[in-house]
Amino acid sequence: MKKRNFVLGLLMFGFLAAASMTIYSCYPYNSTNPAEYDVVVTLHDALSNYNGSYKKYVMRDSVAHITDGSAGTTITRSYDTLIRNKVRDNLAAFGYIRVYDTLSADVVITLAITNSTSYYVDNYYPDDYWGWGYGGGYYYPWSSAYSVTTGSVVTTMTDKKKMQPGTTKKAIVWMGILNGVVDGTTSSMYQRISAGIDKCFSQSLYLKAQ
Amino acid sequence: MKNIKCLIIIIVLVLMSSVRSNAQYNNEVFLSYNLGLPLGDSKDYVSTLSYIGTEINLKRFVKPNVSLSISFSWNVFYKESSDMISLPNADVSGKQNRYINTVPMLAGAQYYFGRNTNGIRPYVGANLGALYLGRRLQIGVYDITENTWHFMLQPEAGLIFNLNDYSDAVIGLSYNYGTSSTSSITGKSVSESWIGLKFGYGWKNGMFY
Repeated sequence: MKKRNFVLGLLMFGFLAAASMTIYSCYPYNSTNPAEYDVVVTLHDALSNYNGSYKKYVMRDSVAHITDGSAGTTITRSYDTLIRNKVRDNLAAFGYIRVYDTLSADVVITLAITNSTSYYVDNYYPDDYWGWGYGGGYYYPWSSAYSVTTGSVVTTMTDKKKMQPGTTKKAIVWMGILNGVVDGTTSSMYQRISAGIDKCFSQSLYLKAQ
Repeated sequence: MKNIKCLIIIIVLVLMSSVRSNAQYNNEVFLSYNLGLPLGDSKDYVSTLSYIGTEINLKRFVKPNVSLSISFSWNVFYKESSDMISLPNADVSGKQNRYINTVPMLAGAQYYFGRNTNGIRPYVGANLGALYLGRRLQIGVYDITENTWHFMLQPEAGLIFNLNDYSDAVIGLSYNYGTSSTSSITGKSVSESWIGLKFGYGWKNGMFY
């Protein structure tokens, strides 16, 4: 009985020693799938301001590309047509009519893609050590660097009637932003952009035209 | 965090030592597996049951039916969510990982009903001390972490099973409450509370006798 207790005690002590090394720092989940890092944000006015009065829109065919100027952060034009078509299709589903005369439009739709690269450095400071014969010392710290490039697809809706002539003040009434890691195959990027733009509109049902 | 890890190791080593007694024991070390059911503000943030939890508890019997204790425990609450977050002028969608790590460090007293030679003894107790709390929200590539200290209360009750002259088993239920503070994640004043259920094994007079 004493021996069994001793063995059990040793096992439990080993468990505790291992647990204490990782205690508090438990974050059970981490994904390597870029699609799982996509975020859709829609910014809007007070919902009471949307009364279905927006029916006609004008939209430029070109998609603005905005980078942070970091080396290697040029934006491909491969997705411009997809973005334009998805926004057009979602607005049509909401009952909007596209016009090509700014004077007759209720809102102005603008499209943009942005990207930026962030750099990170992790520093590791290992513990000191003791050695037989030559005494103790310290391991040298080391660092590792990595970068993450994120991109955003931004759809902006501006109320033309709220624009004030002679000033730069504009009245943006809605903004849909899809943000995610720029990574993956072309087909996966197509799928993610398409799903993200759809999500921008599906969580903005107040935009529907009457 | 390194200091907390060192403190844990020291506490573990201290708990390994004890005064040996052939007639009766004065000290007992319990190691338990803990479950946690979040309540209140904790449930609003992470509503799922915690299956990751452990506790080490040192009891010193000052009388046959009264013990003083210090305990050190840890629970992880985790929830994966795709729910849309609605803010006053924005809606946010994306896969979220929400975490709560609780590390209570408590001292208290327990009262045991019946004789210490009984097979099963109910007990009640109360503990108080400090709660080290970590909350984390991951959404997209964005990660918000906050670490705070709280004052904590823990009433408890349970059953101790006298297995033999050297060991006990314990089943215990506790209510855990950490006082409120303003969360940098939600911007609101939140407190932490959960129901704890533990299943433990105890070594009379320490682990190595």
